[in-house]
Amino acid sequence: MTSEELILEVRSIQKNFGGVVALSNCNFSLRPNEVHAIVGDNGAGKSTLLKIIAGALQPDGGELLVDGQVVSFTSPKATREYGIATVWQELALIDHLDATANLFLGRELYRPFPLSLLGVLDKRAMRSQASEQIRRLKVNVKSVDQQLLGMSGGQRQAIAIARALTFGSRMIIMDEPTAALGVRESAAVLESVREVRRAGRAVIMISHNLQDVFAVADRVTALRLGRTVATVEVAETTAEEVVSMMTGAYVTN
Amino acid sequence: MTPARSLVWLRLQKREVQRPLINAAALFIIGGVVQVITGKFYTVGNIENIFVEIAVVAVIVCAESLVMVAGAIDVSVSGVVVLTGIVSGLLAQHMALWLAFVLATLTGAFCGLVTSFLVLGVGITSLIATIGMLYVTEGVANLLTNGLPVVNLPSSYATVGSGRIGGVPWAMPMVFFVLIVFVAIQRYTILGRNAIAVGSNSNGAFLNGVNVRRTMTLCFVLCGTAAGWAGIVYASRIGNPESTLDNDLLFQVIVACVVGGTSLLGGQGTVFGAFLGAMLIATINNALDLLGINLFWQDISLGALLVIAVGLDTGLRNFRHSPLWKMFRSVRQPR
Repeated sequence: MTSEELILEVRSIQKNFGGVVALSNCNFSLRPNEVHAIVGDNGAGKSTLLKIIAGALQPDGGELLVDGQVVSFTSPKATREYGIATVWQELALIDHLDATANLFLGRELYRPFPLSLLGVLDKRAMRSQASEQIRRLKVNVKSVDQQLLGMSGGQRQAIAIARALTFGSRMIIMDEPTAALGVRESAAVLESVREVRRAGRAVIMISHNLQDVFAVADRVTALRLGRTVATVEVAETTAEEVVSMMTGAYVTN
Repeated sequence: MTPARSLVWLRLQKREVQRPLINAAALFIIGGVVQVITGKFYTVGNIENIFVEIAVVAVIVCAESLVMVAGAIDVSVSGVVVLTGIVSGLLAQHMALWLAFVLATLTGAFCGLVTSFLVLGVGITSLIATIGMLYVTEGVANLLTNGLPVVNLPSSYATVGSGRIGGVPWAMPMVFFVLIVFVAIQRYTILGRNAIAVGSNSNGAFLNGVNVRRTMTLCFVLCGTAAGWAGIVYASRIGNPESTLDNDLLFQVIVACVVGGTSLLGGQGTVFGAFLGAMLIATINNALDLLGINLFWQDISLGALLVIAVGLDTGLRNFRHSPLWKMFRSVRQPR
């Protein structure tokens, strides 16, 4: 597949933290409409790679391409115009705001012209759109006016995912989306990943859980000690092979 | 439970809703008691008095609560008050009063800008940075005046602090105006929303594309501006601005914010709640005055108010998690 057909390409990305090399020569590509899992042991550099793609960290070397064009994401905000949204592992929710405010965080709607200059929010429009989204995505919350402070882990996760689904028009990045969830909530998250693909969008999913990877992913890339080991089609691989990629026993043919 | 009732219940569980309600109730109850005893509380003159007394604190509190919601604190306000009071006096000797006031208020805004540079640019904790600013601003005020009061001011200089407009003290409409502006900022604009987000979870806000630096800078600048304006009101009430630091003012501001439901940890609190906190302080002081109680009791009441407000909050929360309360609930709502 040529670069033009890939919606995202990571070319020999490098990242150091002081003297520690977090990523070196990291390569990754995302086809349109695929679920691409990134696996690796603790400290393999999964989260660093994800933060670079999502704009929260800037690489020390290499380049990032969207639709074959080199881009530079200086902040998470910069990814927005490319239709990229992220579900962070720590969810990045604001406990002291209600569900509506969390859904629109950083993407608020403003009242028409003279008031928009003063940053006056269109609370009514946001509330009605949030209610609609929450109903459509079957998020189990009593009301969009409810503060997040009293919500369960599953509800919070559902709101974080609903936010990404609302604004990630092309690509959704998920960092360990099922790590903190029970069996039922995990199944719901995986179902929403499938739905996103059905809707024609792409998903990058970081996971520890190979079961999840084999359940929803099309391709899987393994990271080890800051390098990409290999990328394989899920249909053509086995759990043993993926584990061997993660642990270093894998031999490229 | 009907949806409408459960919504009200949800709202009532928020501290920033509970506290103002309790404060408002306390205001009227204290007022009522003093009214019954002395018959002097609910008089036009006395209500006016309360507003004149609290004007300076009330103006600063509106902006300080915004800073505290954003997870920072600005303790330089009493220094800024002294500095801009002096600046307004010195300038008023040479130019039109309104221009002197505008420039003095801008001096306050500039102090806020310097603070935000120290906190965001250099990375100093806001408490430490603003303690620094507190002494620097006082020092500059002293340098400007050699420690002497500013004299030879036009007679109109005292208008803002002690003049009257439309039959009420100037301070009354002024305080309401500032209050409305800041309540509107907090409730209806992106700045108020982002301040909560930054104060509650700064990293989460950043990951969602909130401009954390701009939010904090605006909060500090607004706080400096409000303190700058308050400095003019303060100096104008005295008549001749002096470069003496009034740390009582600072602590009244912080107590008002905390009593009004603002959390020092950020994310929680409202401008209106903090304003009611300021009004409660003024009412208690006024009540002690009317009852003819020794002035030193004012300090004791301020301290007691703070401890009681925070103690009630923590105590209630602990109580709700106690076995006793769970037993009570299970009896009340059998499942």
